[in-house]
Amino acid sequence: MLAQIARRLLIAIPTMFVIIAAAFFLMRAAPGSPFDAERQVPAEIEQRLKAAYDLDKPLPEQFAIYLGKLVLHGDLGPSMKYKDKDVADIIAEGLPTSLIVGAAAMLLALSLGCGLGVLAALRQNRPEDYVAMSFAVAGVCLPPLVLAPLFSLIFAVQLQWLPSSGLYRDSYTVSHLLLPVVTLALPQIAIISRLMRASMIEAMRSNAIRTARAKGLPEAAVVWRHALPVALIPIVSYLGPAISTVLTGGFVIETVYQLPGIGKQFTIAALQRDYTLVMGVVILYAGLIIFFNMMSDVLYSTLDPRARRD
Amino acid sequence: MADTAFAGRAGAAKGRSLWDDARRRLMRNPAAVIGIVAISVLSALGVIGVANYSFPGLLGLHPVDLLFRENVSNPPSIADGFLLGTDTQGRDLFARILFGLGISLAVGLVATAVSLVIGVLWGATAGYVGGPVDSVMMRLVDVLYSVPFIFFVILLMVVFGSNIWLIFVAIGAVEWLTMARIVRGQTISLRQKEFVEAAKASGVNGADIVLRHIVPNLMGPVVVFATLNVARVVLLESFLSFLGLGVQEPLTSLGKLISDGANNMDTAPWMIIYPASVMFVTLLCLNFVGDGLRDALDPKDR
Repeated sequence: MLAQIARRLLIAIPTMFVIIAAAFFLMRAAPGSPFDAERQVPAEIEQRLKAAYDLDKPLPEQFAIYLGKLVLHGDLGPSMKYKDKDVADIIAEGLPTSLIVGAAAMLLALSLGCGLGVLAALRQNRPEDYVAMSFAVAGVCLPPLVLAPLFSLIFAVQLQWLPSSGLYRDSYTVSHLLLPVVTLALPQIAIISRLMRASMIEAMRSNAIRTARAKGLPEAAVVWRHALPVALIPIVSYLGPAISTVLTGGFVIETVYQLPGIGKQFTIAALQRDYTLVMGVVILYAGLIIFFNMMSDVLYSTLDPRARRD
Repeated sequence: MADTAFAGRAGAAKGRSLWDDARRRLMRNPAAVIGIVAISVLSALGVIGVANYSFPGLLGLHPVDLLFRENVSNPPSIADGFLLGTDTQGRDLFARILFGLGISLAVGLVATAVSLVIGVLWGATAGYVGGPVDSVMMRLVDVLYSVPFIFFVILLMVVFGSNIWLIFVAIGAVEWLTMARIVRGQTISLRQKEFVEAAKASGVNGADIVLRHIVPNLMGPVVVFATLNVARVVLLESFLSFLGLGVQEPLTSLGKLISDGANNMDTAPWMIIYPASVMFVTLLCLNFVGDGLRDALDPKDR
């Protein structure tokens, strides 16, 4: 297991490098600069502004400077749009919101998704199965983009049960977070419940289950102790992709519900050419995705020895 | 799935191809049949919508871009001639939804075709050649998997400006990874088969074996993936439109209509309800067809 983690970390280094380089040069290729929108400044001052951020040097040198600071000091640099703020500060401000919403959505998706999937599998081809699976198909077809405004329209504007948007910093109340979390979780509930149903059906048909029944175990023990642990393995391998989808999906949610997370910062930063902030967000998300993919793979091969031979 | 056991028993009587068999099973699945019919209707409507953009006033529809200044934000009304109402600029929402549907489906199809070509060739080559070539090619896929692609799609849109061809290519380039993995897995199992050995023995070269013998035999999972992928691309495009980076005026898409609607949902709820419903139905049908195809083609059920 340790060897596997070490191997994955070794691959992660060039991966990160490629991602950082691609984002860096792509961003610099964009027309315009961070100082465009401001009042027309004299050429001399603009020159000094650029010098302050090292923007006057040739691109490869800028890249080397950026990479050097990042690797040696973990320094993401100052934001080019928010004066006197570091990229790290901006990310630290947004991170709690993004993480809370993401983690809550992931937990909701896992518990409800697995629950529905098991229910559907145990009642295969019966009404419960059809209801659960219709819900799952609908969930795939109701993306956050459609759900978020519709939920706001119904629950906030029409029924006035919940606030439609906004989140005062540090006030993570259930009523504010409910709609974003449910919206973010729904498509994942759908995917996870379908996966769970399929793998549970397969597990229930296995020889191990026939043996368990033959030796006279009660049905509850057969399901919970013997079938479920096996059926959960494919879910573990889906965790990595699911987490990256939820992370990037948080993007839409934060924009629609006007939550002060990091995802929302990214698009604004890209449009405003805030080079360093864009880089910071890309690095953070790439790091998280690589980390969670690795964890999910390691966990998977620990649980299922057959997967190790790959 | 109740009918699969039956199909298995009947299949022994006379030799039928996988595709004949699959077609029978597909036609026996009501959800899939409804999906196929509905998707055909929706595609036809989309084509009409796009044609109405090129030739305004087609079939008595209101032109997509015509501003009815007297009828701004009209609620749906048959008497006024605005079946689904008008938007905040007084454009006929029905004509715009048909047009947006056409563009969304076109983006879905073209981007899926791009990912299909790259993914199938990449996966089949890696799987067929095997060895170090395979490891390098698939390691690259692994690396690309870790890239937060949505960020790069957004960056591409920001850098090069939003342009419909770039959307096709950018989304297609993102979506080929899964395709490559599926195809590689299939190819590895096909490579062992006798017909490949026979082809090799009769002196067919590697490229021809991949293109003429392996690729046609892995079309099953590819078709399933492609169908579901069209739905995913429609979603991805709508996300880009939502951020203002998708298709640009004068073009429109379902995602763009939904995000316009979301901004006006307090005063003109029909502006979001109808495009969102059309998108829901479109995605639902694509999923029905995709799931139906998977059930029909999955050899495990045979």
